Formats: sequence, C-alpha cells, structure tokens
Amino acid sequence: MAYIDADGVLNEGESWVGIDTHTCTGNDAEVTFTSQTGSTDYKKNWSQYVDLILIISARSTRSHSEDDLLCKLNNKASAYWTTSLYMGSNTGNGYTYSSPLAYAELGGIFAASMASTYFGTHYIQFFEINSGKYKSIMSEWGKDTNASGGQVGMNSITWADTSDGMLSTNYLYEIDLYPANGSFVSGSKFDLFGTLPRMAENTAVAY
Amino acid sequence: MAGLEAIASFYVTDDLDTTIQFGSSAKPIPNTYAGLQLRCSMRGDDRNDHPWLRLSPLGSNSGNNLHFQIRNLFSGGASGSVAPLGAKDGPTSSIVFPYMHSRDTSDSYSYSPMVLDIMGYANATTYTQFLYQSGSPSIRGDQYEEGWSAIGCASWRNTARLTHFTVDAYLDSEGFRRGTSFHLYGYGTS
Repeated sequence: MAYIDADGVLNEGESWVGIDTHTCTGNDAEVTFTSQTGSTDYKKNWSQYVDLILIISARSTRSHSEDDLLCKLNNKASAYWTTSLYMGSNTGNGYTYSSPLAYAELGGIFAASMASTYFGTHYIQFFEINSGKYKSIMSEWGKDTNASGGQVGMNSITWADTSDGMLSTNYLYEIDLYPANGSFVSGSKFDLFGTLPRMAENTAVAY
Repeated sequence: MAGLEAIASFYVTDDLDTTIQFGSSAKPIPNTYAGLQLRCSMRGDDRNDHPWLRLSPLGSNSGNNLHFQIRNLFSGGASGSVAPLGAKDGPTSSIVFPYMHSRDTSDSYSYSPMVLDIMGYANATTYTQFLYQSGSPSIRGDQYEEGWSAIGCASWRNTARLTHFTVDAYLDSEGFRRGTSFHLYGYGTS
C-alpha cells in the first residue's frame, strides 16, 4: 500500500512499495517505466516516493560476451556524470568520465556469445527523485561465470540535464533502459520499487 | 510487520542543524528489527572538501570501548584510480564514512547519497556492524569537479545494544546544508 489512498488521504503505509514489473517475452530494444497519474493505481504515481530502487536480471542480444546496460532519465540525452569502481578477476579498477555522457552507464550484462543461462544482475537506486537537487544514481552490478569474464562493480551517476540550456534539477518521471549494442533477451526481468519516508510522527522513537 | 518500516525521517531545514539524533535513552530505537538502514542525501555547508558522515553511538556505554575498523575502496578524481581509503587495522576514535559534497567541491544542487546498513544492533551480545555504499560525481557549472564510488564497513566494538545515536558532518565546521535528509528504516521480520 502506498501512502496516498483512494481518497487522497496520507497513510503510514509499507515503506518499500512494489510499483511495477516487466519481463521480456521477446527481444526488447528498450524497457521504459513512467510515473502515472489517475484514479486506479496510486502506487504508480512516483510523486510520493523519496527514492526508487530497480532490480534487474538481464542479458543482451549483442554478438559478444558482454554489453553495457544504459539508461536515460526523463528521456533526456544529457548530462550524466559518471564514476565507476569495478573488479574483474583479481584486479580492482576504476574510471571517471571528465565529460558528461548522453546516458547513464549502469554496468555490464552478459550477451549472446555467453551460454544462454548467464544473465547480469543490477541493484540500482535513484535518490531524492522529487527534490530540487541534481539526481543521483548508485548502481551495484555483477555478472559471474565459471570461467573468466566475471565482474562486479558500482557506478555512481549525477544527472544534471542541460538540454534546455541550463542545468536542470527536474523531478524524475521516466526511466528508459536499454543495452548499448543490442536488445534485452526474452526472460530479462525488471522490478521497480519505491521507498516512502516516515509520514506520521513516530511517538515511540525520539528524533 | 512490514518488510521495511520507516522509523524516522529528518529533513535539514536550517543550517544550524549540525548534529541529528535518532532515538534517545527514554525512547530508544526499537530492538525488534533484524537490522536498520539509514538512507542519506547529504551536503556539507563548509568550504572543506569532502566532509564525512560521522556516526556516534550514545547511551549508557558512551565513551566505553568505542573502537572501530574501517575499510573503504575509492574510485574518484579524473584518473578514476582505486585505492583503500581510511583503512584501519586498529581502533579509531570515531566512526566515519566517506563522503559528501560541500561548497568547495560542487554546485549547491549537488547532494551525496549514502546507504548505511546497521546490523547486530539490537542485542547485547555482538558487536554492531556497519556496511555502507556511497557515490557521487560532482560538478561546478558544466565542469566535472570530482567524484567517487565507495563501499566500506566498520564495527562498533561494544556488545551493548545500540539504543540511540547521532550523525554529523565530520571535518565540516558548519554542519549539514539545508536540504540534507535522512530516513531511518527497520528491517521487519515476521
């Protein structure tokens, strides 16, 4: 239960709300989640959430062992500042883009030249999505094999859209996910959650 | 019980909010959860670069046996180099987690996320363990300044139950900037 009920009344609902889910039944070039308004499913109205959390198990059709998982916020192609910490085999690595990207680089997933049972996993958090701040993303990701090619990492992204000529702090209403060089294969799964703040005063705990 | 319960939310609305307390001796954090999660969006108001989040356990055991170990991995700066950060093999005087942006490093719209899990807090037999992730590139105007992705852990080497604690911006004489927010959750069990 989200905290806005059918009468528009605020409740102290579950703090972790399942918003939406998508499982690819064919090759999907893109998977999109959007905030919705209306009178039937209040959970899908993102305006009530502090953060969003996206859990992904995905694989790309790219003719390669791996692909990159990318996303755009509000369908904007600027400006995603990124730093990454990752490890493959026994070596820790990192990189930072000193110029912004046109998309958020979320990490790696497996692709067509790996056995079909190998998928990549992501745990992605979008912070303060309704605030007047630059939007922040932390993406923890991993993909393991019984041979070389496994990786684990964490990407951090700050989104400061410049498409309208100025640095924007827009609220978040759309997430577009896609592999950099292919499509998501059938069976790729995406689950979106929202976190709610404490609404009513908690008289049992001082703060 | 809900899977994840919101215990408290705190919004910094005044730059005088330098220390924020969760729980008290009279109204302690309930010990009914499997663990706690503190979700943060922070910014320091000082000109020092990169303040840290400091967590100070309070209560009857305050000042006794406060020992911590911290290990971090850091990827930041233009090179993206990776290195241990603040690794301690022995006790330290405070428990701190990197980082948050401040006036010296970024536009005023840049806030830094951190997720801090607090486990083993509810009993009086084990040390409390902390596990965090934080990460945030910062910009000034349309120029990259610096950033990081960091993971780490620490322990409060005290078997006492963690009943209440404070957080503040370590290395920042002016505290959190207005707009900083904290949300404390409890992992509910059936």
